[in-house]
Amino acid sequence: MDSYTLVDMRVHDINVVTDLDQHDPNSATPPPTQDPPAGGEPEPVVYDGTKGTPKLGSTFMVEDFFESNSQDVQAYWTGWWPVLHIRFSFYPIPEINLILHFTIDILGSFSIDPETVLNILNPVLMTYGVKNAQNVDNVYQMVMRDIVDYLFGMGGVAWRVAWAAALTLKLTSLVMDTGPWGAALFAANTLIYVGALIAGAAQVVQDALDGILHPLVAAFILILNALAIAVDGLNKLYSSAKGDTELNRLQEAGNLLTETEIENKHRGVCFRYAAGLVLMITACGLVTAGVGLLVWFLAQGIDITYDTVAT
Amino acid sequence: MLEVFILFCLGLLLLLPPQVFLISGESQLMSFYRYGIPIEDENAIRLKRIVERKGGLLLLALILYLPYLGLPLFALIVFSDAVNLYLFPALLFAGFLIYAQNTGTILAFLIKLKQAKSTSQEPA
Repeated sequence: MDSYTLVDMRVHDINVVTDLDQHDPNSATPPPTQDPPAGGEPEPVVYDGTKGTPKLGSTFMVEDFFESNSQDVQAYWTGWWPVLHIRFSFYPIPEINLILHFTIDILGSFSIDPETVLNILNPVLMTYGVKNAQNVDNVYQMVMRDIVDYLFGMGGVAWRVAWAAALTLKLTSLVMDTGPWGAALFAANTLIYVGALIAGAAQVVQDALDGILHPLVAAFILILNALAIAVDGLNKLYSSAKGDTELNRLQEAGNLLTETEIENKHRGVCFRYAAGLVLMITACGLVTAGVGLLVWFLAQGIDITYDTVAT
Repeated sequence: MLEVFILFCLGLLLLLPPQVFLISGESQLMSFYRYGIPIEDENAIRLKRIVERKGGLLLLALILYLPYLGLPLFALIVFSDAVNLYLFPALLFAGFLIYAQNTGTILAFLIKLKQAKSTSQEPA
């Protein structure tokens, strides 16, 4: 059965022509000018799917970014037992640096080199006049030590009362739905919480102005506590909204609740809402006090540099 | 200092989703146990499934605490040079507040659950 006669074909010549001026058959070139002809409709533009040509500036920026970053990646082998190091260092501005350093050996054992670091602290510390980078570690330790010393020392009494009140708020929030006395207990707890916060904040500001507490430490105490309080406030606002929805749902479902229960639940919704609102306002106040304190010190031209030599 | 701040914010952000999960589900779950009103909310359905399985409460506690277990690990990896004597007290301190909050949330949930089951009644 030999029905195929062509068993051999030879190609003698292939001619390849490169003409960059010619149209790409896969993507039609838009017309050279998009100006509408005089008195007529503009020419329809056939798009090839790309979104215009990027501006020259942005093209350079992206190219520069990739080029500079590709130079920041180093890969090298070390040791008698071959270990491949991949090191990436990224310095977008001199004060911020990110170093990623991984090692992997021929058996696939992967580890992170202790050199790996994300250092975004220097800009903050430089703002506060820490010129010598070698002193940075001392400054961290001093700030942290001062915060812990203050909060757990005599100055932090009001803060500790506030934290205790924050924790008991969970339990009084539970008791609140039982009746007016529970609600009174919850209201008292909230008042102690907010009162202690304000007292603590006032003490911090006073101590900072008296020079007992470093302004940076004071600002951090205020702002960190404000964040925690804001979470508490959001929590109360959310549970108030949920309680309201649930109350409506129960009432729609039929005559399930007694008058007292409806009253208690309604009171719970209102009290939670009020507590949430007060806590959110307090949190905003603390942030304002923290930021304001720093701004005041800077505006007065007072040097708020840490004395790193002392350590 | 900024690392501590970032970690603290991260801890607070991690605090929200589990708490929202519990708060959004628990009220419907309670009215189901107490009055037999069918559950509509997806979180409440999930919560019911967790509570009714064996060891479910343990699992619930784990869900609430799991994000924070990763926090010190994250700190160790990312800030390997910075995690030392001054960062650990800060982590422990922030951790203490967050863990205490969640313990309070779970305790409150358990008490509500017990109350709802003990006063359960048929729907009208």
